[in-house]
Amino acid sequence: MGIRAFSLVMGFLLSVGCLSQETDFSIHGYLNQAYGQSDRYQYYGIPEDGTIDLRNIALQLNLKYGLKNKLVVQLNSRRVGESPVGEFIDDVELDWGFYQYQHDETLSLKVGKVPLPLGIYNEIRDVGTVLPFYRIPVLIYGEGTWTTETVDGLVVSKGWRPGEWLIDLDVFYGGWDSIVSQDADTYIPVRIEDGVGFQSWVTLPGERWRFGLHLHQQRVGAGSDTTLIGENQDMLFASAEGEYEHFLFRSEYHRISFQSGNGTWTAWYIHLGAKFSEKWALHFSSDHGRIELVIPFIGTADEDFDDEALSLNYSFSPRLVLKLEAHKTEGYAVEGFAPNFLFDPPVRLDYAVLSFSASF
Amino acid sequence: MRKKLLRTHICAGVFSAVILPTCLSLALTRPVFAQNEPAYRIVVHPDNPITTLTKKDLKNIFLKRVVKWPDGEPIIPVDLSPDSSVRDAFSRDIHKRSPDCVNACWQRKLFSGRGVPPCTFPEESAILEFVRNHVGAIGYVSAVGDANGVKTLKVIP
Repeated sequence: MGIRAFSLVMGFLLSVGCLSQETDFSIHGYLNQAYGQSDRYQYYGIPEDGTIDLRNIALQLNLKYGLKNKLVVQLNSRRVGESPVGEFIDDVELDWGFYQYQHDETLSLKVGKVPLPLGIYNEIRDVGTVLPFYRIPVLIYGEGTWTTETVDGLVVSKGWRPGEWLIDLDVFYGGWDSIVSQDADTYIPVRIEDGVGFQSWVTLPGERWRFGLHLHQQRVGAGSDTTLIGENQDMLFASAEGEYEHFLFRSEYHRISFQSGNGTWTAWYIHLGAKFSEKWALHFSSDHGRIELVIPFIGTADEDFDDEALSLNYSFSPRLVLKLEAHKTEGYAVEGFAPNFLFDPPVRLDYAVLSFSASF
Repeated sequence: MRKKLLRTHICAGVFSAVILPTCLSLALTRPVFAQNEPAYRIVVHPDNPITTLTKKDLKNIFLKRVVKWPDGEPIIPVDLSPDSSVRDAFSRDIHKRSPDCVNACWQRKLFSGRGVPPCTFPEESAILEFVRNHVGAIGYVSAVGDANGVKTLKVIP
C-alpha cells in the first residue's frame, strides 16, 4: 500500500473513531514495523542478512451499549521475519474478541477470546508506542504463540480501592491454542485445556509503583501431536514496576514447571529507562533464562540464556515513535542449526533492530 | 565463567555510567510549576446538580474509574488535545503526570481491551459546545475566557 493510500485510510479511520465515540463506537489501531539484522546466525526470526519482515498491525473495534455491555474485537496481522513460528500465523487473525458485562464500577465479566492477564506485557505485547523495545522480553514472553496470549473462556475482574491503594484481581478459566518448542527450529501445535489462574496487582499510593503476581495451571490437551499430552504445567509470574516522569523500572520473574523430565524454565529481566525529554529516552534491559532438566541416566542438566539490550527511543509524538536498539545474546535460541544444550557450547550473537511505531 | 563476569561488568558499567547519572540529573532538574491558581476550570452541563468536586474525584472521572454521576447519569469526560497547555496544567494538577504519561497509560488500557480514553477535542470551543449539548458531560477549559451556557465547578483539594 502506498503512503498516500495508507494516509487516506488512516485519516478516514481517525475521523470515524473521533466522530463515533459519542455514539459509543470507536476504532483504534497500531502499527509496529521493524528492520532487524544479526551479526551471525538467526535469532527469533532475525537473520544474518537482515529482514524487514517484522511487523504488527492491529485494528480494534469497540462497541458499547450503555454502561454495562461492551463488545471488543481486535484484528491483527503479524510478521515474525524468518522465524519458524511464522508458519503457524495467518496473514490476518482474530487477535481477540470478547463480550464484557460490567456489573458495576469494580466488577466485570469477559467472555470469548480474551487477552490473558499475564504479567506486565502479555496484553500489550505488540503495541510499539508503549514498548521500550521492538519486542517484549523474549526469554520470558517468547516470540508469541508459544506462550499464552489469549484465553478462550472467561475472565472475571474485580477491583478494590482502600484509601489511596489500588488492588486489582483477574481470575480466568479456559483453553487456548499454543505451540511448544522442541528446539529453536521445531515447534509443535498444541491445545492447552483447563487453564485456570489469576493475575493480581497492588498499586501503591501515588500510583508510581505496582506489584503483580500471576499463577496458573494448565494441561496439554488431547489431540496435540506431542509426548506432552496430558501433562500438567504450573506457571508463575512475579512483576514489579515503577514509573516516574523521567525514570522507569520494570522487573519480572517467571517460572514454569513441567512434568516431563522434571523440568523447569526460569527467566527474569530488569529494565531501566531514562527519559531525557519529551522526545528522547534511553532504555537498558537485561534478560536471563535458565532451563533445568532431570534426564534419566545422565542426571541434572541446566543451561543459561542471556539477552542484554540498549534502546534509544525518539518520540515524534506519544503515538509516533522511532527506536534503535542493540542486543547481545548468549544461549541456545539460535535458529537454523539448533545447537544441543546438553553437548554444544552456548552461541553468542549480536543483533540490532530499527523500528517505527504508530497508534491511533 | 569469565565471559559471564565480563558481561555482568558491562551491564553494571552501562547502568552506572549512563542510566544512573541520567536519572539522577533528571530527578534534580524536574520543572517546578506554579500551583497557586489552576490554569483551568471544570465545566459541566447547567442541569448537572453537582457544584464541587475533589481532585481525586476528577482523577477517577477522567480515568473512567467512576462512570456515573450520583443521580445515575453516565459521565462523559472529554479531553483537550495532548499539546494543549491547559491540558498540561490539568494533567499535572489532577493526575500528577504529564499528558504523555497519561496518554501512555490509556494506550496500555486501550490495547489490552480494558477501556477507551475520553474523546479528545482540539479546541476549547468544541469542549464547551459538547458540554452544552450533553447532560452527563464534563470537561475543562482555560481559567479565563467566555464559558456561557455551561456550569463551572469548584475544585477542592
